[in-house]
Amino acid sequence: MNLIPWRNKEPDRATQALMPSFESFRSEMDRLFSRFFSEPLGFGGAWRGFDLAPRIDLADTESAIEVKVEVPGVEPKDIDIEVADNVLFIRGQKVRDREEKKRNYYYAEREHGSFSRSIPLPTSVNADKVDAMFKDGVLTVTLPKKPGSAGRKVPVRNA
Amino acid sequence: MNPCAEMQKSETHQPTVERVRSGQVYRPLVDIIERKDELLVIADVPGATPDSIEVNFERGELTLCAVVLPREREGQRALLAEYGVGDFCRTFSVSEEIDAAKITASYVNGVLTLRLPKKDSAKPRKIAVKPA
Repeated sequence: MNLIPWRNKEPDRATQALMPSFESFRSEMDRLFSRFFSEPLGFGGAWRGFDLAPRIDLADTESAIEVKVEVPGVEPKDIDIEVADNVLFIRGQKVRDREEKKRNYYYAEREHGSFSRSIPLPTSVNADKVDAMFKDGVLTVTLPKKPGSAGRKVPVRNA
Repeated sequence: MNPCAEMQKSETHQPTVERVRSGQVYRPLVDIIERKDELLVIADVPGATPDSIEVNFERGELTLCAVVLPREREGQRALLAEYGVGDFCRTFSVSEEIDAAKITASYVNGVLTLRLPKKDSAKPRKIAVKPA
């Protein structure tokens, strides 16, 4: 029977020898966890709880805001676009051909699944006149600016 | 490989021989699937057009390249540019058992699909056992 609290005991030789590897194991785990939480979109596609976030291109022209998204392999009918409160939502799904599942993969780099992205717009847009076009795997959303949203010069009064 | 591979592009590590245009070259993400009588190569090449894609099969090497026009920034102010725009190029070694003359390619919605039929000699064959 041992009545001495275990933490007061000097670690024996074998435990001491294990310490460094425990230390590296811990930092390994820390790194794994921080990567897991900082990159929720990834996880090799095994983590299905999150949507993929496609990368976007946002440009400002005189009359419109233009958003481009590379979503190869997506059918136009599988893309949902919504504008609300000057935020553009793009959602969609890249469906894997059901037939493909059983086949023998050598490479499987292309990701499948649902993706979504919400993009805050820099100016007010005319939500009724938003246009979306899908060509060769690139989605282009054109959002015409509301007239008068271009910005107004404010003169400073003399008190 | 980066786990967030979906919409990201990686720069190609392959030497770009005979390259005359400037700009970035990306390595398209691919799926390669073996079927009973063919190999299927599926590559994401967004922004390319059917005319801009070149597929070559030579001495057991399959090369696919696509020219993608750079962004037009005329009269535009870029606010976000999260992805790069540039050409795609990638080379694969393919076994000799491919019937090069019968390779076909199609391009839909930014995805290039190559079908590489196997030579008859490479196809699995069932041999019937005759009763003696």
